[in-house]
Amino acid sequence: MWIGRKKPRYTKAQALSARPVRVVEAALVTSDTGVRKISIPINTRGWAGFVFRMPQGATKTFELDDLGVLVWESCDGKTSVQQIIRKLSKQYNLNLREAEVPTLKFLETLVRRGLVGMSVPQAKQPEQD
Amino acid sequence: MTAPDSVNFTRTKNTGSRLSWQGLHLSVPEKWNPLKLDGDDAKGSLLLADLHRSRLAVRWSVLPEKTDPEKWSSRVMTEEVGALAASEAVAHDPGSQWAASRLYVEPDPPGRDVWVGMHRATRRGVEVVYQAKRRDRVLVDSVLPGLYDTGRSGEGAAMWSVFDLNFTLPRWIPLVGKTLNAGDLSLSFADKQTAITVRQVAVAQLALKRFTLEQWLGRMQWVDRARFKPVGEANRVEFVTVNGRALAGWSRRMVQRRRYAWMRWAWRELTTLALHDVSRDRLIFVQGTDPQLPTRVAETVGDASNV
Repeated sequence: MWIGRKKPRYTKAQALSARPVRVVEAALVTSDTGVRKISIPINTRGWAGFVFRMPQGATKTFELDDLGVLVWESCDGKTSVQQIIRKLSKQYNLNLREAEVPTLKFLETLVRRGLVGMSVPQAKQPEQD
Repeated sequence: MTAPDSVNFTRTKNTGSRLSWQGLHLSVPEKWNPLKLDGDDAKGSLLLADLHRSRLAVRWSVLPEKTDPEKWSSRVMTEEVGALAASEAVAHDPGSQWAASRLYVEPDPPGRDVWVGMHRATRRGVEVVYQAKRRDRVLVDSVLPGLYDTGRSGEGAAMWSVFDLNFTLPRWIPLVGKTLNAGDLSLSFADKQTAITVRQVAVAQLALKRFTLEQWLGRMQWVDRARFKPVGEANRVEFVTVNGRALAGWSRRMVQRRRYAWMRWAWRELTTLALHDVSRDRLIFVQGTDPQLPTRVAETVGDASNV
């Protein structure tokens, strides 16, 4: 059928062997209540900064739970998505599928928000168990 | 239709995780998880996959009395692998419960290994398709020896196990709803006599940071607040499961609001348990229309040793 789903750019094997890497400088801060947050500086120079009159040094803050912290800290450019899933599964005693779904969803959010980039190996074979 | 009250799984104890769905029991490698679960006990299918690809598909349907199992088996095998390959299929009975069972092993993988058979007691025709990427004996050595069918086991207990949510209902109650989200698994059952919902939330230590267990109980009951009202305060409950784990939490009853009294067919009350399973780090919620049933079911949650 000529009208259909767009073919994904990467295969599942490539997606799992991709290595997420943080593309913003953000320190993980623990608040007094124990909540962990990352603050990202907002670009105040563009038209949006002019229209919304953003002050210099404005930041946006993301609150992370324990799973989020584990994934965020694993986005070091060395750990693959598959390794993050296995780490999460082992640490919280979850099934691989139960760990896979939130990890991929969270990484997708991070990528969409421009906090994380993905280094996708081109000719890598899927890692087999 | 009869089935034993207790099934011995000792042969397949170390093969991985258990999947018990609609009376069909499978032992599969731990890395395989359900991707798709469809249908009911009369006809349905399930698909298991690991991180990389789909691994195993199982289809079942109850065969009418007049259906010849041999003809059915031959037809299904031909449809699955083609006439030429089907002629190479050999008889293979993983237990003594299967009639007309045939196995086809792809000689030159990648390909599909297929097993079909009809359970003698439940008359369910079961088809197992294994996606073989290279030549291994996973289907023959691990999956088929752990395959068992209890079907609607009459008055006997009914075991359910999916992901790491496993429990035993005291009798067969049809599944009417499922929510299998990552970290939040819920199965609902109902028949004319009773209704029960079993829910498991992972990871408990994270879930309890957001709400206390009593608040979780309130949230669980909130869904039914339109038709039921809580009676009194929540009571503290503690008990030990069948495999010796201690569960502690809260219990509260809800009764039907008076404006729905004319609905004679509707449930009169609901009892909800909210429990913290410390050893498994899970929150367990059991809600039923029979006051005793939630406790009986909660005692079996997380017990994967026996059916």
